[in-house]
Amino acid sequence: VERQPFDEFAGEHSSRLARLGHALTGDAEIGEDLAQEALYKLWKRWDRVAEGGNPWPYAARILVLQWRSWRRIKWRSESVGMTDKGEKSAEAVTPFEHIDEALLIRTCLARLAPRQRAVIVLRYLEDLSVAETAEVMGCTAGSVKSQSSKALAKIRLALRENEFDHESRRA
Amino acid sequence: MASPNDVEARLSAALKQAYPLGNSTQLGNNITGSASRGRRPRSSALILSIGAVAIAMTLVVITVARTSGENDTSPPAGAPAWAVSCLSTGGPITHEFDGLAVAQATQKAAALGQRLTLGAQDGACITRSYEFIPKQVVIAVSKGVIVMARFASS
Repeated sequence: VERQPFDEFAGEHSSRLARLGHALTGDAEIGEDLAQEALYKLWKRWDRVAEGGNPWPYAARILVLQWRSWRRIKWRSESVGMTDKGEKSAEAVTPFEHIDEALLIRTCLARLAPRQRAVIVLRYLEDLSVAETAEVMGCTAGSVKSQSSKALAKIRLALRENEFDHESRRA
Repeated sequence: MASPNDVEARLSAALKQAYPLGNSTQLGNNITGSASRGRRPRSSALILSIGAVAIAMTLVVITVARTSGENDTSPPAGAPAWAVSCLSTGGPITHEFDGLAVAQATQKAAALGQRLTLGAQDGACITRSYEFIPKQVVIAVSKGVIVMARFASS
């Protein structure tokens, strides 16, 4: 397997790591910090990781572990996506017509349990398979399916309530 | 009612809109730029612990400066460009201090048989988590060892 240079990998995936951190924490800056530290830790193990030929799942796993540590330390409240900064951030980068949807989805994520949030982000934002998600999270595929199912039920309910609100306002 | 697959597709699309790639500022943003975004609320315990780290970093720099016998401020051949730039200007660092830059600098230093010592053991201090500390960066280069620290200016 041809080894990818670390610089190349970091250039290609740093934004993706930061996005993953942002989605998990609800804070773009903390997401970047997690991505930075994940990159640094990845670099220290690069020789071994690069041998496998696909370092991304390992990088994502480091970031998820960093996120868990961050949550344990409780640097932040758990109000993901509901901070002023988060909302401003959404407005700044999201096309106007999608703001409602973006805020709604952030609110949905904030209401999920941390493991469910991680599963949803990895499965539907990162488009990882059930097996890949299980590898990144360090759990079984069954657990991923179970958490995913519960999370989707909550999101479905939130979407339905939101649509009901819109219908009521129109009426 | 929406089918399960509809919800999954809608969720996937909405997540990608809510968190577009490149949404975050690039990891290579400089310290000055990030500092302008203002302080973050921190618990007093965390602030105290960061203060302790800052003092420890200052002590590391002082200790190394003393034990090295002399403070040779000229950068060693092949030192990372940002370090050279900082030493030549003598001003506060406004260069990239992201994980990649630190990793690259460490890598280059190692390739040159040198050692890049960060203020913290694992380099984690070189992130914007610490941006509320007034910026003051000291880099001492002596006998091929680059010592870098950030601490509260007096």
